[in-house]
Parts: sequence; structure tokens; C-alpha cells
Amino acid sequence: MITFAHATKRYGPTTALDDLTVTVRPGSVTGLLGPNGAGKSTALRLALGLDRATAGDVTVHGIPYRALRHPLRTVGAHVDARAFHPGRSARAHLTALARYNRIPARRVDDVLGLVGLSDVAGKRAGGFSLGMAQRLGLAGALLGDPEVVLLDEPVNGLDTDGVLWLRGLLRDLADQGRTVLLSSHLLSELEVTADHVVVLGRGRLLADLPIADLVGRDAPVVVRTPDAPAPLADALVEIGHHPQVDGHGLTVDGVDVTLVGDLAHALGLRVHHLAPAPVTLEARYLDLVADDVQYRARPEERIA
Amino acid sequence: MMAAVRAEWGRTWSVRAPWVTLAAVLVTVPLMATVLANDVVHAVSTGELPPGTSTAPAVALGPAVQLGLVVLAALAMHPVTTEYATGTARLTFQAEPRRWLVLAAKTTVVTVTALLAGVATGTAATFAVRAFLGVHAAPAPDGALAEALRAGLRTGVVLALAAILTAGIAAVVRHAVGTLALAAALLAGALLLPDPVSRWTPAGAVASFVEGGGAPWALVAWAVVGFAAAAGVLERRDA
Repeated sequence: MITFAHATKRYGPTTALDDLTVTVRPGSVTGLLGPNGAGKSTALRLALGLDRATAGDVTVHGIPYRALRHPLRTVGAHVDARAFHPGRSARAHLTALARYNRIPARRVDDVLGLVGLSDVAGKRAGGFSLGMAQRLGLAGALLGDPEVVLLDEPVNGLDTDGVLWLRGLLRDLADQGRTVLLSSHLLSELEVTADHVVVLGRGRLLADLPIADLVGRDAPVVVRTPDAPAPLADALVEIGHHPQVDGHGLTVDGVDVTLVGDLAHALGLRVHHLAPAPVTLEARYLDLVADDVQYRARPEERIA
Repeated sequence: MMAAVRAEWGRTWSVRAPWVTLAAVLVTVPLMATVLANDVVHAVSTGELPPGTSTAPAVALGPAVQLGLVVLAALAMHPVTTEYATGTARLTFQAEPRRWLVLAAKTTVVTVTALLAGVATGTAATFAVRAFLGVHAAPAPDGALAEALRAGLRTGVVLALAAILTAGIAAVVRHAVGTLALAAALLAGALLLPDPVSRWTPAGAVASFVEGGGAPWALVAWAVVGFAAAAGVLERRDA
């Protein structure tokens, strides 16, 4: 469990994190979501004791990170891509970390096997691809068999196999009752990986809710029909909804998808597609952060 | 502390640069010392110095050690600056949030290395200088071996203290080039200052101690204060 209690971090005049209060719970995968500059990395750095909070507290199982004994056995993190010496082997890199926390040497080979780097364990890590570098970072995070796992954009650079493997791994970790927090800007990735999301914008907490709530509940229902959608639209208006008709069918908010299907059937409409809008997470997310995007590309500066 | 030292010892020697700089330290001091000894012999042969010239090997060793210290600084800073250059410092501080302890472990590794390297290279250089000077070498009252070992110990002590100071500078400055420039200025460059000032600098303390002077308290003070200041900065600064 990671607890942020009124955590605030200022770097000079910039407020990177503004009074964040949230609890990341064990037994589930929590996604940390937000645009660039939202405070995701700052939140992770405070949790890891790398930066000191200007105000408030961040604790792991109720203990500030810097008070943990052998912290890698409690918290495993992978926050910097390619944080290793290019001239050092993957094994030597992990061995140094293991020794600091009195983790047995065989655990180094175990995690190298777990992430699929056994064959290159003795090679200079400078020659690793981005995907291999990510795997080495993940191996470091798993080294101490930690209760809490923090990952910053872990999917970057992983190939399809790697992404699937990581998804399974995170699920297993959460199912074992561990706390898993990962930041990502890939909404689609969080949608399939995370159970819960914490959304940040300009350092403030915008939302803290189960991913199902962000995705499903208010998803607009999209209907595609080769027939004229007007009768269905009228029927929906009659029961108090506001469908938007377009050339291929209609979209309607706040109504159960099964009801729309039943209506279409009753009206004799041929339905080729009937589903909650698949882009909902993105749309909801953009709604949430609309006012909180720090680095917005101004339309007139967009390259044609 | 033992866990941290074990971690840093293995990590330090798992890359190439420290081996190369260590070899450079071991070669530089005897080479420079024999060049200086050869200068004396040459000056006598050209009549620049009187035929009866008698030079203590320590006189040639002093400037050679000073040059060796600049090379040693590259070795001593490496475990610290390379962590910042590669971004592994944050990983290390995750493993050991007591940052003073991380610095202490790195400092131990380079200090032990510097002490051993100093003893070896100072002893070897003194033998080599005596051989080169031949009849122009000042007599060694208790024998050439005792003289060489004594000089080796003095060299080891200054290299060890310089390693502590350099590791501290590296932790504050974080960048290799800046650290090397500052360390070179303090460990060798400061010798160019007028004597009443330079004797309180690391360079001045090194020069007088290697040539047989009393304990280098000024250098001890620099090393202790440098380490303590660096440990304080590390604890307070965001990583």
C-alpha cells in the first residue's frame, strides 16, 4: 500500500505535485494517468524517497521510503529507462543492487531468467535494445520479491510478446496481493492492464476510480444500420434520450446497450453494429484533463 | 556498511575505466620520478650541477606523486560520477536510501585502492630513482629497502586522503570534467600559490609530506571536511 497524504512538491516556482491525497491499494493494478507534466514521475519519485516532499507525506505500508530497511525487499521500482552503465553486464548491474539489500546472489539469475535475459546476462548492457533495457529494469524491480511494485511507462519499447508477458506478470503480482502502480500515457494499455486509475493533471488529483467506471458506465452506445435510423432516434427521444444521428446510424448517451438493441429489433431495423463507443476511456480522460493540459500544441502551430 | 562496500567493490571493478586509471597511476609515478632523477644526472653531466651532487630520492618522488594524484583523481571520482552520468544513482539510492552510506562505501573502495596503489607505486618509484641517480643518490642511513617502503607508505597515505577528498568533490559536483578540474587544482595546481597559502592546500600538504615532512594534517582536514560536506549535500539534495 502506498499512501500520499497532502503530498506537495515544488521545484523552484513550479508546483509539480499539488496536495495529492490518494491511497494505492494492494491486490490490484493501479494505473497512474496524466499528460506530460501532470506530476506522475514526481509522485513516483516522492514515493521512492528520491525527492523530498515540500509538504505532506508519502509512505509505503505506513513507513517513509527512506526509513525502510533493505527497501528493495519491500518496494521494487523501474522508473528510469536505461539506468545502467553501458560497460557493465546485466548480472554485475543487478548483483550490486542485490548486495546492498543482502539479497542472495542466486536471485539475480532467477530474475534474469524471469525477464528472459539469461542468455545475455554476461554481456555489456550497452548493447541492449530498448526492449531488453526495459526487461533489465523490470528485473531490477523484481529483484527483492517486493510487496509493492512501481513502474514508469514499462511498456515502452517492449515487443508484442513482451507486452503480453508484462500484462500477465502484473496481473499475477496483483493477484498475489501485491500493490502494483504503473504510470502510462497509453490509455489502451491501462484499459487492459489496470483495475483502478488515478488521473493527475497539472499536479492535482483529477480522478481516483475503478477503470470500469471510467470506461463503461456512461459510454455512449453506437448503432450502425443500413436502414434509416430516424425511427430508432424518435423512439429514444420518446424515452428521454438525446441521440445524435449521422450518416451510418446514431450515437446515444446514458442508455443501456441492450435496451437500444431491443428497440431496434422491435422497430425492425437491421443492426450491423451495436456497442458502447470503444474510444470512451480516451474521451473520458480528455474530458478530465481538458483544463489541465500544461503543454498543449496550439492548433495554429500544428504542421499541416 | 559491509553490504554496501561489497556491492560497490564488485560494481567498481566490473567496468573497464577503473582498471585503466589504476594502471595509469601505477605507471605514472615511477615514470615521472625516474624522468626527474634522469634530469639530475643529466644536469651533473653537463656541469649545470656540481659533480658531487647528492639528491634524496624523495625530492624526485614529490612532483611525481603530485602528477600521480591527478590521475588518481580520475580513478577516485569514477564510482561517483559514472552513477550520475548513467542515471544509476537513483537506483542505488533506492537500494540504500542512507546516501551517506553509499558515499562511504564508494569512498572506502577508492581509498583502499589508492592506499595499496600508493604503497606499491611509491616504493617502486623510490627504488627506480635510487638506481637512476647512482652515485648521486643521497645515502640511505637504514638501507634502500627501508627508505623505499617508508616513501611508499607516505605515498599511500596521500593517495588515500586524496581519494577521500576527490570522492567528496565528485558527489557534490556530479560531473566528471568539473570534478577532475577542481581535484587537479586542489591536489596539484595549488602548489603554484605562495607558500604561506599553499601549505594549507591539499597540494602543499602532499608536497611536504612526501618529501619527508610531518603528518599532512591540512590534507586530512580537507578530506574529512570534503567527505562530511558531500554527505550532507547528498542527504538534502533531490536525487
